[in-house]
Amino acid sequence: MPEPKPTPPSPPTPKPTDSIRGPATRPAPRFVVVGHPNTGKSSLVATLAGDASVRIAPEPGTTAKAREFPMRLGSGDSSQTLYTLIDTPGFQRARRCLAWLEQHSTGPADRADTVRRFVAAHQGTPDFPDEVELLAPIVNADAPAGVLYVVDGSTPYGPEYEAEMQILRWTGQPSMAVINPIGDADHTDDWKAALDQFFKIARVLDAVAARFPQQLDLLRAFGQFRDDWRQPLDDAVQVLQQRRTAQRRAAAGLIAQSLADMLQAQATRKVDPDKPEDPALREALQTELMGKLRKAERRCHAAVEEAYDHPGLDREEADLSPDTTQAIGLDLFSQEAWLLFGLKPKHLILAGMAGGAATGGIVDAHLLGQSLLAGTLLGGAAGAAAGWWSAGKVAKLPMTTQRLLGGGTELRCGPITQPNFPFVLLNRALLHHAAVANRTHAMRGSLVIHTDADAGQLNSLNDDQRKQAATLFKTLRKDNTPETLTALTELLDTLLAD
Amino acid sequence: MTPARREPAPVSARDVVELGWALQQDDAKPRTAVLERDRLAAQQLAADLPPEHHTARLLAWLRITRDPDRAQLRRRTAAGLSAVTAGLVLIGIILGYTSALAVFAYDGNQPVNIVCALLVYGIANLALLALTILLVLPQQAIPLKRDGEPKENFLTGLRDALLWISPGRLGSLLLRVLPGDLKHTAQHLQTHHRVYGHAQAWQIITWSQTLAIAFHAAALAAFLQLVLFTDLAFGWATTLDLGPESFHTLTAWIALPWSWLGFANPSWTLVHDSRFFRGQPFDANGLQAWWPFVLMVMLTYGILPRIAARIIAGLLLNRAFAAALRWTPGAGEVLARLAAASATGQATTPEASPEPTAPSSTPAPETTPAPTSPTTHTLTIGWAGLSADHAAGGAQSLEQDRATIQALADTVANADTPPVITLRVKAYEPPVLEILDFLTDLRQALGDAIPIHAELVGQPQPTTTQTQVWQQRLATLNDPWLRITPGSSPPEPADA
Repeated sequence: MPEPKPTPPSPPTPKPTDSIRGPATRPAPRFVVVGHPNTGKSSLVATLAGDASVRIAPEPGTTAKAREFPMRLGSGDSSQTLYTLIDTPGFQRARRCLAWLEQHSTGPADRADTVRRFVAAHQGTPDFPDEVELLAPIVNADAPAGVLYVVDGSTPYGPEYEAEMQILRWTGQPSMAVINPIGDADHTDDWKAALDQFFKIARVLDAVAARFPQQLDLLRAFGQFRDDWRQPLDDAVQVLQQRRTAQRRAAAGLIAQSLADMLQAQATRKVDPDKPEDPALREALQTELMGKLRKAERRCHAAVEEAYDHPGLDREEADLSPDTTQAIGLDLFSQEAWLLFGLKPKHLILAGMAGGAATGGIVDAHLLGQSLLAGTLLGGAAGAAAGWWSAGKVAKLPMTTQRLLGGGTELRCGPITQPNFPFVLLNRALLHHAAVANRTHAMRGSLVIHTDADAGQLNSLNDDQRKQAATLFKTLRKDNTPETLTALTELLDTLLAD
Repeated sequence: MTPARREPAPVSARDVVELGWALQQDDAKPRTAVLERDRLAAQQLAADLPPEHHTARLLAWLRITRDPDRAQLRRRTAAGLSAVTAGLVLIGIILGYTSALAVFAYDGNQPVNIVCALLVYGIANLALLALTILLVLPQQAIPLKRDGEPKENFLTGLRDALLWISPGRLGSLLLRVLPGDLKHTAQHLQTHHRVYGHAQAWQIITWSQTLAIAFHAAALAAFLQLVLFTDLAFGWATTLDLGPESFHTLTAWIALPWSWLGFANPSWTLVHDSRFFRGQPFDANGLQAWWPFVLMVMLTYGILPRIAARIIAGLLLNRAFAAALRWTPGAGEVLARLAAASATGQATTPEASPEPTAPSSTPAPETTPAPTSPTTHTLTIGWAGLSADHAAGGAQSLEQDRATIQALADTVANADTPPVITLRVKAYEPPVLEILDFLTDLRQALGDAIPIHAELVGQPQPTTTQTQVWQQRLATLNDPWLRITPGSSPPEPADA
């Protein structure tokens, strides 16, 4: 039977969190992630450590040795470890282990020592390889660690877990339980009732799907283990938040640059003005432009994935394997993508009006009001008309010819000037970013976003943002100077933060 | 390597050139190598370098990842830029010195014409400066037409003319004479003119201000040399209808900036007495009193505005360099990689491969339906709380397990027909070694040939993966009489 729940310690004293002290002033907290096999320990570690190389498989025994995942800041002499997670194999012979401990213990006072003796006695023997691996870092005399006991909340609680929890209590180290629902069934309440008898804190966290704030909440909860761990973990949270901000800003810059490039993209070919125009050449230029744009979008996606430390992520690309049920997989030039990602006619008219009015307003300003705001009104009306005209239409690839200064003529395809085009690009980029930013390192397989599931994320700009974006897009079409790119990056940063 | 500095440093042309070149080189490198390099670089960045300090982060990245080739490129770039600056300074000195010798030429026949000095070192200088300002005015400051295109008026025409004669247009000529990597880099700068255009323009303006400073400094030096070591007499003469009163008013206006100093303000008498006409004799006595005024003109309207323009241009050049650095193609990717790896939680050791399963001498236990024959007697054991004739595992102690095994062995020994022993296990729980130990002990107690079935109890049915996992694990027991049967019962409440 479980022993009575330990009395919670008094609330820890708050400490300043405004600075991150050096490694010499305190040891970094260590947490050993333990549990029954196949409860998602490695998934939890992969998510919290941000390491996609952790082996995760349905077969028990995937993790054979304990592995340390120190969260580090800097390197060399200036390196600082914020905390260390230790992934371990699951319990295999918990009852036998507990029986050994009970047999060799003289009383409650020597339980932790008994666990150390157990580890020493069985190190290198075939009897308890997994128990030795998981218990050794917990009772390490030099750097004892806190315990994170992970259970699968989608399977029913069973008595086979009791021996494990008893052993963990024997270690005497602060501990916390994490209920990780791997499957669809929900046995969380049963688990909570059982775990409450053994652990001061029990949290529910889907290790594979946990969003960033949930991950930080869990880290903060680790700080409740011991008073002297609170400050380092608050620091760690601060560092991770800074990293997240940097990642978001970097992603905003990448998307801004990509949008600017794509709004000005064109394909050109020198032609002989005396010869009749070749229709095949037109088609070739259109194909080239579409290829350029797709490639630019893919490059942006890949860079955003690198920003969130998901390099080389598999992605469904529409022109490689079209799947109309996946938003990200929709081809940039498909009717579905334009309907899904483009602005609604009403928004398109408002955005067009804002862009046109902005341009007309500049004219009015330079005429010192003598135009009686005719520029603003006419510009707005023209923009609105353009927006209405382009609503519901897919990308149009304009062809023009231009005489070259050095002689000859150039046939030019693009840039695409439809008001909806930048919004299609923007909404696709925002959706992709949301998918990447919320992807944990425990997730395996391709990046897939279904249109039905994520439809709410599309066209999520409010009126002010749409107007601001329309104005910036209009400027970008002519001039992607650093100033405009910086302004767009700031807007995108806000959108990505939302 | 040293950790990156915290404060953003001024950006130089060397940094911009180096970054562009480095990122071009990256395109040819394996992606994994680039990622790993930047992961290490990110760890060497100062921990408190804020993410919004893009410039500082990129400069730090350049410093950390610099290799000898890039260091050499920087040296050559710096040497090239210094050579251009030195050349312009030299040209400025020669022009300034010779211009002063010409403007202040005095052979005793005719005094130095103040009007000439005012024109060269004051009016012309300010006019050129005004043209520079017109050149750098933002597009929005020029009146526009209704369609948003620049209006064709005097100002825009002048501006276009200035752009046409801008030395920046000589860039393509310069490309032809540049050596290998510098030429390649210069081509890159030209290709991405939108990114580097501002910085290039400000570089040219900065250079032009340096040249002007050298010009005025040399002219000033020549003037002082002439004042100190020769005798100069100043007068004023002009074809314009300008009397001494008007000229005195003009000089008073010119001297306004330093009038509070109480010197270098030409008096009415001096202005009146120093007017001269070509070919007419003049009295040089007292005409040297103009020199403080000329000195102040050269300082106030010559060199000081140029120094101010040079300082402002330098600041704006630095801003333009910083912007160019931030938006260099590929810089965003570098920032992204640095952001991702700024704090890393990756494992310190590679993951050990799972212990290879000992090869089984018997095939994996077959999955067969539970025996249905009424003549076959079945004894069930419920593992970890599953209901059955006997209990094992879970809350049972090892002693109780052993007692269960003994009881089953006794039953089998006394049975007329060998019964089937069914161990009911939870399919959704992995087959831990404890279960395998139990099955091994059970087999030893029962002896060979007694069939043991592992009945997988699912939620409600065992999945294919679960069944396969159990099959693989039980196969390690090498028990030919061990089979797996899919159970159909839903999980039962555990007897915690």
